[in-house]
Amino acid sequence: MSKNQANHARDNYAQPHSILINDDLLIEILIRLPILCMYLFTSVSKQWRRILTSPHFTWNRSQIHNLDPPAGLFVSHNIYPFKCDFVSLDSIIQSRKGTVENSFTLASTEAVENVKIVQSCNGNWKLCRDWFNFFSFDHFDSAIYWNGALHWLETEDIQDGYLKHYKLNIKDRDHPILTTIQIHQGLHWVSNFFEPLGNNLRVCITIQIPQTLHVEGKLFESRGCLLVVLRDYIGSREFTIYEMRKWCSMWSVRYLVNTDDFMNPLPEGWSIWSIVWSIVLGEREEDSCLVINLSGKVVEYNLISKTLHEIYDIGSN
Amino acid sequence: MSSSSSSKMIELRSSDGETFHVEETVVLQSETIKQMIDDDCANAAIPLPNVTSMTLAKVIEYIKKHAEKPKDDDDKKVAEEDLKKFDAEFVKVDQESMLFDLVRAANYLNIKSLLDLTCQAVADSIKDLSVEEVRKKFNIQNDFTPEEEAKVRKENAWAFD
Repeated sequence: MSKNQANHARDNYAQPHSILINDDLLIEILIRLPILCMYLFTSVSKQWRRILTSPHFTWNRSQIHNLDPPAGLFVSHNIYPFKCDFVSLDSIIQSRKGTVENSFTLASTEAVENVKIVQSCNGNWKLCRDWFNFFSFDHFDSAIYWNGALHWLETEDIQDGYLKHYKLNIKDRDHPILTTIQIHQGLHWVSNFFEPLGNNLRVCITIQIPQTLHVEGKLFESRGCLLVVLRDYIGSREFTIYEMRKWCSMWSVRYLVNTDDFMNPLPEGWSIWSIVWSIVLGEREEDSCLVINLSGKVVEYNLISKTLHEIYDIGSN
Repeated sequence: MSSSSSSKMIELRSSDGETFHVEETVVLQSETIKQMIDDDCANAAIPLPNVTSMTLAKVIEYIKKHAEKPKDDDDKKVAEEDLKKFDAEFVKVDQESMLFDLVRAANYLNIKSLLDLTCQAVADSIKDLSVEEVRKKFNIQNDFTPEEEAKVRKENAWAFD
């Protein structure tokens, strides 16, 4: 046995549990877990439970910006309902098509022709599903887990332009708190649907959404920001991407997009077949893009360089 | 040991007595060692009683790679991609204990990017495991009573499939 091996073998530090008894190092590791694991792993041990449920931990976790970037899109073919293609939206990983088992039970977001785009983001959809079946909301497809609660938009009556931003706090399963902000002609209306039982815990948040007439009705999350696409009026070729940063309750403009910028250079016959499917904020600003269906091709549109890049051809599959 | 002739060399001594010579500019990525140099404690070999030679060699490989400076903007993009590939390969270690050693070393030497990288690798290795598998992997004693565990599980029942 060489000197190195001998040293290594008797070195206690080599044992995994020795780093795990150190709270600081364990926190460094646990803080990087997907949100679902954070809940799941509270039953590992008392130490893990103490760390994972501490408010400091939640706050520290929110400071790590690159957690849970959208990993990609799961493209499900209706003809083969048990298989999904994975299309990576990560600029680091080369876009690739790999067939994965459709073992996750996610809600579909969009059906175009015979293809469904199931937005993957980071697996948080698992959180949404049962809850929203339980509450039977129509638009739960757009729900997103962000900043400790589920958020989604509903446009109940497009004629009247009613727009609501819901926030469902599910930290306490027995006392879910649903808050909604309705915006109509500058009138902000806040109400709680579910009164907590047995105590006075009541959370109302005021979230201002820029007053608009029509919404695509879907929230996105990327790099810790909540994002929404809004158009001024139906048929407008321009739209705005708003963002809400963590621990903020204000929407602010992040990008202005004119569809002419990418449609005009294309040959005749190309058209937009979908609403915005996904928004990905790059690790670097210049990697930020949105995903849209152009004539059956899933296309990534870089928001800074204003260039198109085909990532998936629906027609060929 | 190094191709550079101008940079000052710093001597590091691992827990098992091996010495390594590293350029000062490279080794400054470690806040701990930077502090020692600033405090003028780096004239002789710096002893690192918590880091084995095997781990230290890996750490030096990492900081050397991360000290490379791209020549121009074109090169910068290539270098960034290259570094990402390097990082991805770096945490693919044969022995899992090596990964834990690296977490400890990164923490002790206070190299933020290496701590981020290695902790993320450990997190990635457990994120798809069940509670029981995590306990087994980390040799963690379940210190809940059955009643307590049932209660904790009930609170988070929605997270369990």
